[in-house]
Amino acid sequence: MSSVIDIQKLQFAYGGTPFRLQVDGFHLQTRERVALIGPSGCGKSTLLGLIAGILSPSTGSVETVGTRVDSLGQGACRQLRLESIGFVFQEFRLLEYLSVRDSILLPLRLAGRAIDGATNERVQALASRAGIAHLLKRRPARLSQGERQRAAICRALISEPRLVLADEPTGNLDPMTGEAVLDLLFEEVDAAGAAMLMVTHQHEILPRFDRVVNLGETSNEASTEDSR
Amino acid sequence: MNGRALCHACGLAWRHLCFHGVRSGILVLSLAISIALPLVMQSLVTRGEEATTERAERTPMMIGAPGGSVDLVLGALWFLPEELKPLKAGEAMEINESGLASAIPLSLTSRASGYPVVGTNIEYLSFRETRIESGRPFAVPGECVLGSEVARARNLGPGDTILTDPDGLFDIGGGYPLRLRITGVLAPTKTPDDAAVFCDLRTSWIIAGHGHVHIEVSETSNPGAIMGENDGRPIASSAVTPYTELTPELLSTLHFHGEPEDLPVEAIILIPRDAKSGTILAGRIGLRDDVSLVNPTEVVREVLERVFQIGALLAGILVATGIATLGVVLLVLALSIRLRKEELDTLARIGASRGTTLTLLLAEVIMLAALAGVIALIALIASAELPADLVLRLAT
Repeated sequence: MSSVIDIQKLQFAYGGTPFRLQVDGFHLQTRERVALIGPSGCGKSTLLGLIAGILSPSTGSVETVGTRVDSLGQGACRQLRLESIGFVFQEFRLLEYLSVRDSILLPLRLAGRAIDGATNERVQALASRAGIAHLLKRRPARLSQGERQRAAICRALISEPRLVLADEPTGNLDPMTGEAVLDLLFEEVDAAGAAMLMVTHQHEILPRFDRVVNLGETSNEASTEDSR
Repeated sequence: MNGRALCHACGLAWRHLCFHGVRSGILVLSLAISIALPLVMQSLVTRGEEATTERAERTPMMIGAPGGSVDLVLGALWFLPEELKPLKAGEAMEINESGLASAIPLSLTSRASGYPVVGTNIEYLSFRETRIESGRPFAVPGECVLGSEVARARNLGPGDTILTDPDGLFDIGGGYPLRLRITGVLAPTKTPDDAAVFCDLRTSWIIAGHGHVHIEVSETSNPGAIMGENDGRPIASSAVTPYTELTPELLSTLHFHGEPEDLPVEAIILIPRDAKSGTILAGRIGLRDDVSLVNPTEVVREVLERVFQIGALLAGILVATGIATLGVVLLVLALSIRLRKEELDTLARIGASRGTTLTLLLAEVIMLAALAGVIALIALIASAELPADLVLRLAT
């Protein structure tokens, strides 16, 4: 299995704050599903930002889908995210003025890709599997929380990314809806053959992951335990 | 960023504008008004200046009773409802007889259906190079020709009639409306002539009560019409209705309360035979204090100078208002970007390039400005339909 994320001796600090993140080593393989846990403020979301090239480490190296993002310019990092990384956020982050269909197509449009018949079929298929095919013309304001997150998951997967980064995707959902959304996410990530790194506080879902990485409360070092 | 990404960014911008339709509409309207007002104002002033100057320059000289020269010019050239003191119609006859100039008298005291009735002679129409589009010119008292705008607005033409306006609604002692027979309609000229009714000088005197006709009253044709006799003359009862139209039968009884040369006109247009004749005439009239000689071009220049001063002030105010509006619009857009911080952050996280984000924001501003520009252009084109002398009318 090839490595999708490879972090070596990473250190990161926000200027003017005591916050320090240190990860000596972290790897994520293709098709691997890893949960990232740890107390609030320990740097879980920051680590996602570093992996996606949104933030730059102070020292160390971060290789994402075969590209050293720590030494990559912002433009190239954005391109990498568009082509290879799918983001799922806790607050869904759907644009209020876009319909579900347009929201799902957003990454392709931002990448300047043609929206042809095949793309539309893919949107339809993805939305059908997510159970929101009948909502494609609706705007986010007229969707339930669960429907919004389903649309956001479809958006993250439409460009067939090699890596899905999910930041507490069920944090704003009730347990039943959260379970259904997780089912969808795992199914789709599996179907796409992608790897997934998910930040979560919900310990009850940890058994679903291949591995759980705990960003230690004191050392901020990633310790790994096999959840299986 | 490739061309397709640019198109997609513009599409996103358009969707955002449409989603916030009310906000976008207010911004577009504010911008459109800020752009259109100075342009329309400038256009109106320029067109007004051209039209006003042209009409004045085509009127070499004019005389009226001593008083305000501006009122005289505005009343005689633009038929504005100015209170003009009268002078005797005989002045026109004398000037014609002198051979120094052609004199065209203007009686300007009456109105018909709200439009000014201009009592004059047939030379006025040829002097203004006005063509009869349909029908024929007025020939006898009681006939009139309509300016094109009057005919269009009132849907009138040759063979129809138009009623003059009474002096006062409660003037039961006289001043009955007179029904004028329309014999022709003038071709459009885009001058004040389009919005006027032209008739013979005698007709305007009859409307003003300086002349009248007699009605044949008899018991046989109109029982109860005679209530008594005075020295063998019948005394008409209230059953006799006053005449409302000058029929050919009634015209034979037409007479005026005085000699025609003593009856009033409000202005006389003078067309000197040549420059020398004009100078002699100006010299002669200049010596008199009962008549005022006016050069319409000079008067109009004075008025326009005043208009331009007001126009310049107004333009300054409009520009200042425009800048303030632009400032508010920019502030709204800046605030909008702040409100969209999360949206822009989401786009960046997904992978939107800075170029795409910038295009998205710029496209929105350009679309707003373009829509405002189109509306402003439509307003500018529409303003061409406004009368060219509107500014002069508003300013005076």
